[in-house]
Amino acid sequence: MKLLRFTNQYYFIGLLIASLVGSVLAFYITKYNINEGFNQKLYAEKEQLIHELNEFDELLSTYTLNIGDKINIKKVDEDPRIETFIKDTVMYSTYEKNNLNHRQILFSEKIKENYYIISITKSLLSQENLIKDVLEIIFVIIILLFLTMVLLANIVSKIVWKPFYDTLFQLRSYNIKKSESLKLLPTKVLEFNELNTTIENMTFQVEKDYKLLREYTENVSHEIQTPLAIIKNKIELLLQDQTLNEEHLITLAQLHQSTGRLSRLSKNLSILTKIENNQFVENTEIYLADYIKERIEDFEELLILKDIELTTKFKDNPKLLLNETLAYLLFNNLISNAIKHNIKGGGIAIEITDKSFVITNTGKPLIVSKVELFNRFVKSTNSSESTGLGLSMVKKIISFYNFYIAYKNEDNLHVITVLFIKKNILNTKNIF
Amino acid sequence: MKLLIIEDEHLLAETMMAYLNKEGYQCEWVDNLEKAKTKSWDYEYDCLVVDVNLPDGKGFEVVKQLKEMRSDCGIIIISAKHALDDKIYGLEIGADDYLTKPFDLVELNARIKSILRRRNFNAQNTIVFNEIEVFPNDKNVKVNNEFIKLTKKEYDLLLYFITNLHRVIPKSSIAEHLWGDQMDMADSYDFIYSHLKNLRKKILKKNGKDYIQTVYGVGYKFTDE
Repeated sequence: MKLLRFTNQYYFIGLLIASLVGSVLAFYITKYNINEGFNQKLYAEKEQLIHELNEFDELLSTYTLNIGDKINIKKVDEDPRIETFIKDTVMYSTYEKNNLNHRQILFSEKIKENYYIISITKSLLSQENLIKDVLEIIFVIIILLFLTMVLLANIVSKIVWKPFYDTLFQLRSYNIKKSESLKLLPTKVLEFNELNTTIENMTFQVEKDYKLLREYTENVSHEIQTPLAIIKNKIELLLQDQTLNEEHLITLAQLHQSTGRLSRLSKNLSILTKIENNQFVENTEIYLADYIKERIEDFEELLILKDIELTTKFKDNPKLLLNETLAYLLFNNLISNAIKHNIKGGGIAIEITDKSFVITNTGKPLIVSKVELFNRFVKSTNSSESTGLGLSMVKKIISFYNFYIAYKNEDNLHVITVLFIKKNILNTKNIF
Repeated sequence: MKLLIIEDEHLLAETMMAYLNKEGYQCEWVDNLEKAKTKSWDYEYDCLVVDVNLPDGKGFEVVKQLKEMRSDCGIIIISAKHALDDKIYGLEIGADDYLTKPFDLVELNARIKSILRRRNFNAQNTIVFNEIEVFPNDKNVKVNNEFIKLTKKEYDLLLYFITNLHRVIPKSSIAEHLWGDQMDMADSYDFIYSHLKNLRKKILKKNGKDYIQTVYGVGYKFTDE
């Protein structure tokens, strides 16, 4: 939920309750005031009528006046002693042709030695209209209020939260692997300024640590090679020593092998670090099907030796924009992986379409979980020669290019699918 | 044959010298760029082995100097970095070959010999070992004066052995020489075995001797001793 909606939600609920209570109150207050005013008017008319009846003689001969207000004067013989009172009645209006609400004031009065019962009846129509009008106005005001609030909230939040969104935008586009450090805009708001300084300090620290780690990995990987070279070469010298017996020689050969493995391990780790550091930037155009054919040629001997049949189905020959080293590592690792974990007399199938590369191979069931398959140092064999970095390198390269990779097991076949993204597919050229 | 080794790591240089001296080379050694520049200016060498990272600069400087002098001395660059850029740059400015640390001495020796052979093509350009004669230019091999047909890998293997005579060569060194470090090592050992078997068969067929000795658990040795 957006912050604006979130805060607006509370404003709306508050305003809704306030306006409901307000309109109910306004309704009753207005109604009460109008009623009071109406009654006052009736009393005033009563006084005026009594005054006029006393002043003018001829008025008494008219018993019923029915213009505007209905005035009914009834002569009685003795004092009826009616207390003045007001009541609401329904009367038929010949003009409106409808039963309408009326209010009547009834009283008795002694005028010129005679007793009269007098009633003044006033139509309530105008008063009802007034209440309706008032309520309508209240509603219009409430709606205007709501609209203003939404508009203001939008504008204010755009202005007030702008630095926040700026910071958010910068953070989103921030990449620690790029050398540019985070530069946040200064704002007038204290809280946002504090947020920005905290973020800047944090990223500065993270950058520092990241750089250190990167340098460390690079240095270790490079610096380790010289001592390894010394060890390896010293062993080689020793191997030529005629006085050593078989056992010594075997031990030395094992040392020699382990040194080689250590060196490969650190080279691969260094490559992984370099991928992470975006150090493979130069891209070349690669026609995938042609490229894979070349790679397969490299493995021909191995395929024959392991008695593996490799079939290819190149439906297309997409032109990809990839770094040469990474492309080599990616496809070489995938193919060699399919060979390494194969069985004697097994098979490999490679399928290329305009946007995918699928490699299927026979082999023993997976011992590691599917999820862990692409992790570092996950090995499915106990072979001491495997560095356990092959597929993790594949994964790194895949994510470097935002490609997609998936493993599935179908009828005891291991299937690895790589999907390329449009950005790296230049075009597809059908050469077959 | 005179070699100059330019390497700041004393132990490494010492080992390289010990190995190469046994191969019959006259080796000299310097441990910084300045000395390397003076030495290679004052004397003539057949081959230079240069480490890229020296305490007082990049080894590339010596290569540039030699090229300015129009020297035809062979140059092998050695670097701890597995960086393609270094390799490309080194070869661009005129180095003949490039090795990354850690390298096998056998490999270094093979590379030096290969460079020296290429530099020397006025002389009779064959390598003879008893009844076996290798023609590196045409990649041909004669046994008892008869050509034998070898596959590329068998030929590489034979040449590797003949350039490293009487040496115990670990299997891993052979594998790296033949396939680089991309091949799964465990697999490549079976490979070496099958290639050796074929090579042996082809040589024996022409009444050659079997010079390939298996050193149990270690590797192989090509020798007539």
